[in-house]
Amino acid sequence: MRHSPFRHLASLLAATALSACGGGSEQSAPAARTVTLAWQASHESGVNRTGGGYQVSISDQPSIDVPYVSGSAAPTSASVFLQPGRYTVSVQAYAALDAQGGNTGSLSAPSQLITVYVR
Amino acid sequence: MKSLSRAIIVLAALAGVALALLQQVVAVSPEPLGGGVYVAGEVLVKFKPASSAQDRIASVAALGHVVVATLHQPGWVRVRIASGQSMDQVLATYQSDTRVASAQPNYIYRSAAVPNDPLYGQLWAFKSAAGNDMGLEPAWDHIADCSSVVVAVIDSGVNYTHPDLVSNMWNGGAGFPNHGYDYVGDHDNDPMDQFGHGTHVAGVLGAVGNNGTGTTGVCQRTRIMAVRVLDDTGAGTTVTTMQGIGFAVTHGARVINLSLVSSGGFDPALSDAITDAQNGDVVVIVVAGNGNGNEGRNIDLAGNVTFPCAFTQPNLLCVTALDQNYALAGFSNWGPTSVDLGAPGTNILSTSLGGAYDTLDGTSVAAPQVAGLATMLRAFNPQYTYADTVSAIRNGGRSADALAGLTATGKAADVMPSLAYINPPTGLTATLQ
Repeated sequence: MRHSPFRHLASLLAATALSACGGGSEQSAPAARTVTLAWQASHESGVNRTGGGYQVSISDQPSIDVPYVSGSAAPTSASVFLQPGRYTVSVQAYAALDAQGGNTGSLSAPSQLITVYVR
Repeated sequence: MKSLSRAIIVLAALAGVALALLQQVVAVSPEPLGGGVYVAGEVLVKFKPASSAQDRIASVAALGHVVVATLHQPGWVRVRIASGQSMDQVLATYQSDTRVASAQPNYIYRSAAVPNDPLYGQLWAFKSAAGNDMGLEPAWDHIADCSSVVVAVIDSGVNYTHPDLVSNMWNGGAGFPNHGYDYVGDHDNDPMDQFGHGTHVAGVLGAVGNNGTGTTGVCQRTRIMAVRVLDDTGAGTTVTTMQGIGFAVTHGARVINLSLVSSGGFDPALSDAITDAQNGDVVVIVVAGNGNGNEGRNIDLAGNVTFPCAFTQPNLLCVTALDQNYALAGFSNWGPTSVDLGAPGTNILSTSLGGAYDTLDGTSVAAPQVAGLATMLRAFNPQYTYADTVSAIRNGGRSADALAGLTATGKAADVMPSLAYINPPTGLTATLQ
């Protein structure tokens, strides 16, 4: 389940390449872009039921809550509109159950960080 | 006004007659629920809205059954089935009836926090006044029934007729009517314990709980697969152990407890068997072993190495024993590289050969505490892989001073934090639109 460093690099290159498309003869100010973030579904039951979900952290941006809504699993993607720049992104999973058996909630450690360039 | 009152009375009388007809109420004296997961001799049937009361009665009566009660929810009735009929057969019959929407057992729900087993107070590993325990009680509020997971006790066999084990034994079907296999004696499907070790181990991880009898295991309900690889002196071989692991993996175990140890040197054949278990997504819990007399030793040192603890497969967890002060038990081996964590392993009360109970010390009785936890985690999180399970146990453990520097984690198994532990998400990618 460990990340391959090549996978990380691939996502970086993909983001960079995509951001370079659509150029004209005149340089205009780079426009904000929609970035879709996706991750593997958690195997924890608590993440995939009411009170569970994911929290996406993007540097210099408000965090994004991706709660469980219905069905068999919480959503595993989120889209965000980002101005040109360099961002670090991670995702954490959460559930209602806490380590004492109550419902104050638990949060996972962050996923591996990735860097996203929007140009 | 008078005619309205009369109409109401008539309607009420008719409704009463209809209800009586539908219910065919029989006097049912309350019976003990027993240790099963559903009420024996009963099913719940939901009839489709279009079916009339007569249709319902006909459906039930045709099978020789009796409606005991209509339930509040529309269409549901509680049915007493004929003696000798199997639950599966009855449910299949109802489900094939076009007037029936669904049918199911009358499942038993229990208040899970504190089981009513009379010897529960002696199970210090689960709840102790000093707080040196694995904290089972809050966890049982969330899951006490691990019966969705098969856990294999690969040991000296199991006394599968023990009253505190019998209803938690794996159902091996017609091929394995005695809940497992014997690779030592007659090489047949009767893994009856002749030594007692395996029966004790089985009770630690899965004695039936909250049944008003004896003790409880970490899992109050589970499915214990008995695999006999140790003889009536408690000795086995690479071959018997490999065969036992192979049986467990092939027949659906998700967790294996191996409370056995050898200091005979690296055993590549047994290592292959552990790898097969890894490939089959099976967690294997093993022991650090007991030193000579009361002298535990560092098994990471050359000359002291023991197997299977020293194997490095990621599906393997090696357990050492803690005493009631949460100090390392004097007899218990340790190893900052090969031993993962500790668990209670002295004065452990559990099921014994003769159908009673006794206490044992040893890493052998510490490992099944962790095997029970692994079983519970996999029941609580059905999508858990072996890697998720191992991670939750290691990360959910609580730091124990006595284990710092003596085990890889420096932790003791702790049930509730492991249940609440969430593995970090993986596979994060970004795509620009």
